[in-house]
Amino acid sequence: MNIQSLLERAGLLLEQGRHKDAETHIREALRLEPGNGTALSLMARFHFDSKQFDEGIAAIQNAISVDSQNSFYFYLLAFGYYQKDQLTQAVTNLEKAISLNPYVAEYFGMLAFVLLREKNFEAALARADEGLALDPTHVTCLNARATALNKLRRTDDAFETMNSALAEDPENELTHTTIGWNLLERGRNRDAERHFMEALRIDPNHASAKSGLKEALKSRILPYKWLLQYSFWISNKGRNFQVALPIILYISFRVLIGLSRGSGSTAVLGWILGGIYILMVVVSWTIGSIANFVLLFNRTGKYALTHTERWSAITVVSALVAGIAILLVATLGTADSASPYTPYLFGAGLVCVSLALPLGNIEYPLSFANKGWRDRYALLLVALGLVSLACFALAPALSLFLLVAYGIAFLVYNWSGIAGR
Amino acid sequence: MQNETIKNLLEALAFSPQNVPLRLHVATLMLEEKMYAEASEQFQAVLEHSYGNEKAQLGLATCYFHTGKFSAATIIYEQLQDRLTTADTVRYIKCLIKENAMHHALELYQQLLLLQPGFSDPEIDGLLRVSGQGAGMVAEEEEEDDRYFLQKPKERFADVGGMQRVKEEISIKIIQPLNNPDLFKAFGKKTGGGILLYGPPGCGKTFIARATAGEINARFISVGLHDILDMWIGNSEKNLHEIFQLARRSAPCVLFFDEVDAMGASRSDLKQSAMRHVINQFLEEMDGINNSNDGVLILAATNAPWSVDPAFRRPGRFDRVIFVEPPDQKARQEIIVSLLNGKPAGDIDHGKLAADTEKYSGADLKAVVDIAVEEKLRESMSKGSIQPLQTKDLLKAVKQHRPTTLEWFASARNYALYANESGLYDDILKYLNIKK
Repeated sequence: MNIQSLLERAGLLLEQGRHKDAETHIREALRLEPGNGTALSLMARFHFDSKQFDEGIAAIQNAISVDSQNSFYFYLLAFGYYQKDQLTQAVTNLEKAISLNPYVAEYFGMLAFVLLREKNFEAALARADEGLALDPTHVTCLNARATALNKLRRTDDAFETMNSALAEDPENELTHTTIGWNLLERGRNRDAERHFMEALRIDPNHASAKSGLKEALKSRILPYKWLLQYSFWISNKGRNFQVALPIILYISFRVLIGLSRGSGSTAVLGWILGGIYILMVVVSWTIGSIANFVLLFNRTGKYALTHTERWSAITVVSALVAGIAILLVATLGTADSASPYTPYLFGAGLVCVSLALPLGNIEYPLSFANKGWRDRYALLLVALGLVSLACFALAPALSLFLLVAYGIAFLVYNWSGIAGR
Repeated sequence: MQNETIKNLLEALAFSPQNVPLRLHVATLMLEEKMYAEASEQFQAVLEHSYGNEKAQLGLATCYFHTGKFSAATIIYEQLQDRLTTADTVRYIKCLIKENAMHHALELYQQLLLLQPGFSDPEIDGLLRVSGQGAGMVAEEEEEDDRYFLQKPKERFADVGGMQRVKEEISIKIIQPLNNPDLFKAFGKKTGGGILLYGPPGCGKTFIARATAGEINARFISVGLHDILDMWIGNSEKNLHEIFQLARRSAPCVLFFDEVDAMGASRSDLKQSAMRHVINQFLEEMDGINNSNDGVLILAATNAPWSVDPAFRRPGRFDRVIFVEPPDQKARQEIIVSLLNGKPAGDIDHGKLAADTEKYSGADLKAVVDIAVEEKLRESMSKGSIQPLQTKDLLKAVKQHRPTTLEWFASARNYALYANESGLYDDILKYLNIKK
């Protein structure tokens, strides 16, 4: 078979999503002509489709070394960097592609998406508009523009753009997904749900639409909705703010401690604020799993959850319910008469509640092999917690020691940011 | 006596040189008298007057054949390939053999044998029907290269383990109408149309298609992914038409399209009108607008039913869409037994193996046995004696080989959940035990 028909076949197979069949054709073409630019670019696309971004980038760099005037190669290279979140390189290569061929709307649309991820919303909007000047119906550019407008809080313009994108191509999963996320960010979770469902109908394997659908469904629970709005707000603030946030939190924490050491009403205020803070922390750990637990009772939600999400939900909620129940029993017990078991019950209740954190952060089905140290630490923590729980019942004397050990391990887990995903 | 006649006729021809039938008659007589040089002159004269006269062409080819001009004869036979008589075909095959085009010769001979199973020609048989290894090798190459080759599968439904539901569907849709045409006519049930089989890879879609052909003693033409791709790239619709024509000529015939989704390509491509022509041609052929599809049974298989153009599923086309699921426990047990057949094996607990291999496809089970066999080979070599396979070796291999169907189900599940408007994927939901 000659190289041209090999490449044509490979291109077709890639478009049909048959990566493995395409690979053999591309390799055969490269064997015939190792320096064929088209073959190398197809190889890069094959690697990108198989989520092997480093290999893909290497292949397209080879193609560029063969033909440094092909704008599409630079576009592909930028795509690889974008997927790897190396945004500066992505921008550089897209600008190179645009300088080689300034008439391709797709290049501008892609550049706009990179800038969106850099939180450079104004620039993204400008680029998307440039792309739309070339092709007013270009769906990527319309989506980038709509997202940029939404982030800039120009909601009306955003919705107008989204509607024109839909009018252009009502069967485009990307458009429906973008609209879904934009609506979700505006707090219109019911509408978002509809668009995510539509996107999934068109492409049931669309990952972003699926996670969007889950978020939309969970947003039916108010505290979750607030938390989601908060995380949108944080993520829109740009990197500087995200770096500054822990410092702000630390300062307010010091202030709180200062307040609680004061006398009279300031101390009470400090304790109340501190209590609210701790409540918020606990809620933010567990609300995701609690929301997932509620999803288990929703017909659509039930099947959208992954295995890990489902089991996290079940274990976290069980731990919370058990812990709170034990704590209630302990409180009622002290109200009646001080039983010798009361401190143990309190300890057990606290351990149960705190177990929710590592339980929500590990992968299911449980396995110690092939895991990073974070997961292993979390697993050990859960094991330690369960052992100390057993000790409360069987060997109360040992339990104090274990409780302390668990407490230290838990604090290390929490404060070292292991829990932060 | 004949010579006398010829002489007289030649004289008559001298008076009316334009008389084509007369000249043909003379030439034919000359052929019978083995006067090849003279006959060839007459045939050429006929062709001068009536260009493209088939009789004359074939006569000329016969002359060429007997005078040793094999390449000239081959050219003529090639042009008239579809209209050759048995005797012509035999000569064509012999020319090809002389020209050393063994592949082509073998193909033609096999086709001829299909049409006339009792036929035999000692000269050709001596060259092409070599017993032993040589012939086997040729036949193997044959399978790879000649893609539209007509086969006559020997597999029957009884050879297919499990798949009861699929067999029943095929039976009611394809086999019964063929066996009881009057009954179906009485109920006004139209025969025809096709069946689309879908399911994870390696679960026997191709095998059941072959067995369908075997069951009704029909010929079998398999069109694979690469043939379909060629249609996209080259001057394709013609190829498609030729395949259908071959099937019609060979009726009863099962025409099987593997990976038929490649015909539809991806959604975005469909908008490009240039790409639609293959699909349109396919639909036209299936509908049998210009040619009747009587006796042609069309089966198709795909791993990606969601990529199959919805137009394929309209009534009269692939109006039955059947899910071919991975083998159930009983079928798995049968497969394991047959895979281990003839291999050194100890006391194997087939039931346990079958129970532990849920969602494994036939191909997966084969891989499992291969892994275990390799391990045992290594062990036997180091120990210097044959170590029989044990249940635990196979169970270990099961752990090493994850079923390849999982990936397929991960994707199929999403389609069944989110894109199941017409209930097309209800079978998948049922198999995965999902209640919507």
